[in-house]
Amino acid sequence: MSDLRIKMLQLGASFKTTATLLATLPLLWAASPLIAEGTDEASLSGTVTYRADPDSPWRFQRYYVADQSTGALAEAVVSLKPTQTIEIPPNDTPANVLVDQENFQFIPETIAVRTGDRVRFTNSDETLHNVMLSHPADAFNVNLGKDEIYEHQFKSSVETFRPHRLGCVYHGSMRAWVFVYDHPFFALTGRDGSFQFKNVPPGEYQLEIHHAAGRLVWNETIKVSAKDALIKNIRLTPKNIKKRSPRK
Amino acid sequence: MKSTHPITRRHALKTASKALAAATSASTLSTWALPDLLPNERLVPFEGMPRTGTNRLDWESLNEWITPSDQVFNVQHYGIPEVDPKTFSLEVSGLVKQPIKLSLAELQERQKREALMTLECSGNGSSKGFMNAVYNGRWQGTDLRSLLSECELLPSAKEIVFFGADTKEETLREGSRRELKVTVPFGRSMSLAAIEETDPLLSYARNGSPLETRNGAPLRLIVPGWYGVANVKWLTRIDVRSDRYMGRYMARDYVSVRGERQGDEVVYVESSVTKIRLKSIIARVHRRPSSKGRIPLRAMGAAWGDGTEITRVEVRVDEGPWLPAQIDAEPKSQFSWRFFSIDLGSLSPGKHTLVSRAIDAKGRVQPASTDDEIALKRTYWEANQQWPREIDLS
Repeated sequence: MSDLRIKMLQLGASFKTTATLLATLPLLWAASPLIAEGTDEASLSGTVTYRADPDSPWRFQRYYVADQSTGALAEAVVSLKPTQTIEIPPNDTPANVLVDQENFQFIPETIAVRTGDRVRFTNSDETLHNVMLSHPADAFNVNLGKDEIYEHQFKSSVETFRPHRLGCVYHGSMRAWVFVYDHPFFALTGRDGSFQFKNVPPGEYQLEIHHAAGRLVWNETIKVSAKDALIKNIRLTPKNIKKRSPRK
Repeated sequence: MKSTHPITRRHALKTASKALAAATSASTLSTWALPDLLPNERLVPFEGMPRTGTNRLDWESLNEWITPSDQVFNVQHYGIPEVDPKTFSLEVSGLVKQPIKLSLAELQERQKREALMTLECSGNGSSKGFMNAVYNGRWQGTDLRSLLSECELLPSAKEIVFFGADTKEETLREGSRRELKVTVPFGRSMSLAAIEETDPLLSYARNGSPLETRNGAPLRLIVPGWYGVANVKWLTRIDVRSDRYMGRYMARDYVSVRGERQGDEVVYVESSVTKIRLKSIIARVHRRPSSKGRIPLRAMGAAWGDGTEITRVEVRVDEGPWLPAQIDAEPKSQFSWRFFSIDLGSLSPGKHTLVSRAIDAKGRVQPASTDDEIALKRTYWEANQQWPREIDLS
């Protein structure tokens, strides 16, 4: 058993939650540190929506689009990928993010963190679960009984289109995704589909969106000028559904 | 020495006629689907169920008889090997007069045959965390029995072992002084009698496309009516033997442990996971606008098994009587699932439980989780218990 694995009782109940998936999302945002404000820095905000097409149904829509009239898309990761070198402050205040296993599902299924943030996995089910990740820098494979927790500090960043995929070895349908960044310009959309980046250094970026659970992808090059207050409302359609490799 | 085993003499002519029949049957199947939502209907979500992801059957959006690729599961125990189709070969060896080694191209040049089958993982339905591992497919390939016939089985041949290209180091007697580590290929076996009965296919394509790597490319075994584990993927070697093969997935795993009542005693019996057990599930529930305070409801789903005719599917609401569902006449193929639907009349607002059960021509009834067949089962394979669906009509 890993040294990091400790009983919930030893930690107290501060990380215990029975909250719903969407109620846990603000925790991630509140935990994300911001770059110290500079004079030329800009902001970027907007929404991600999904426009359905009856001729090309996206079967995951029922999970992630709560309001069909607005199409606001939840649980999409939005990120800015600099195309030039920018100065990134260190992650001085690492966030603590909780991922529960409840009713045979990771809750939340998608999280986005900075390198150095700590993710605590727990299990609210009576059934034995497991959390497993195969990655050279961040591998773990831990069984979790009810209320046990395992904490992992992610060391290496990933590309937005190649997040970590976690699973439970005992229950093949359980899956979760962890997006790890070495900068603070990332967001996970909530029920209203909104995202916001503050203190963005001027420059050119790839604005990338990946809905890992729903297999949606989108990207665009954007230019950010000094003191911009950009608003970007992005509408995804069935054309953004990631194609499967024909032989894989 | 004269080859006298039945499988060496019977099948060449039968195979040719069966191939033609199968092709004809497949080509006449309609593009039938479960009915879509009507304009005044909406889907009733199931309560307390986790989301369904990719590579799993999505019951609530099920509408196609042949399952689309992105809802097809894959389970493997020794990882997914990459087998180069250009250098691939299938070898038949052991107790045969004529060992043979065939390339993929040579297999594809042989008499073609199709098999329609609902393929289910035997662990499917063992928990909420694993209950969408089933799909219906149309496999293309060539006949196993004909190939065995050409190899001329020796009289001592009794068992056929199928080995995949996937291998792993297994530890036997772990932790003991006699611990043994040995690298073995994944293997499963069938008796000659079972091969006669099931008429397996050596399959290189599904639904008209080459197999996906994760599903066994370039070649896998398809055993109509048997659970997924018997349908060996990445098949590279067929070994004909006189004694029982006791590999991990025949003798240690995929062995159901089930209690049987003998008088006042419960005796536990271990048996190999082979034939698919009779099963049904409600896939979707549709509601229409309420009328006079009640909500009109209809449900639809699927039923499947080992190829025995499914004669009835029944649905029960809460603790009410079992009601007969309509089993769709077409499409129909012996080893594929049947879709059913039922008009449930109008239900009161609030929470309800719906459950289905299938009954086959041998009189077998899909068990409830409290029936001995399930309640006394100590392992998770063969999870064919009725699956109640909770809905909220508030």
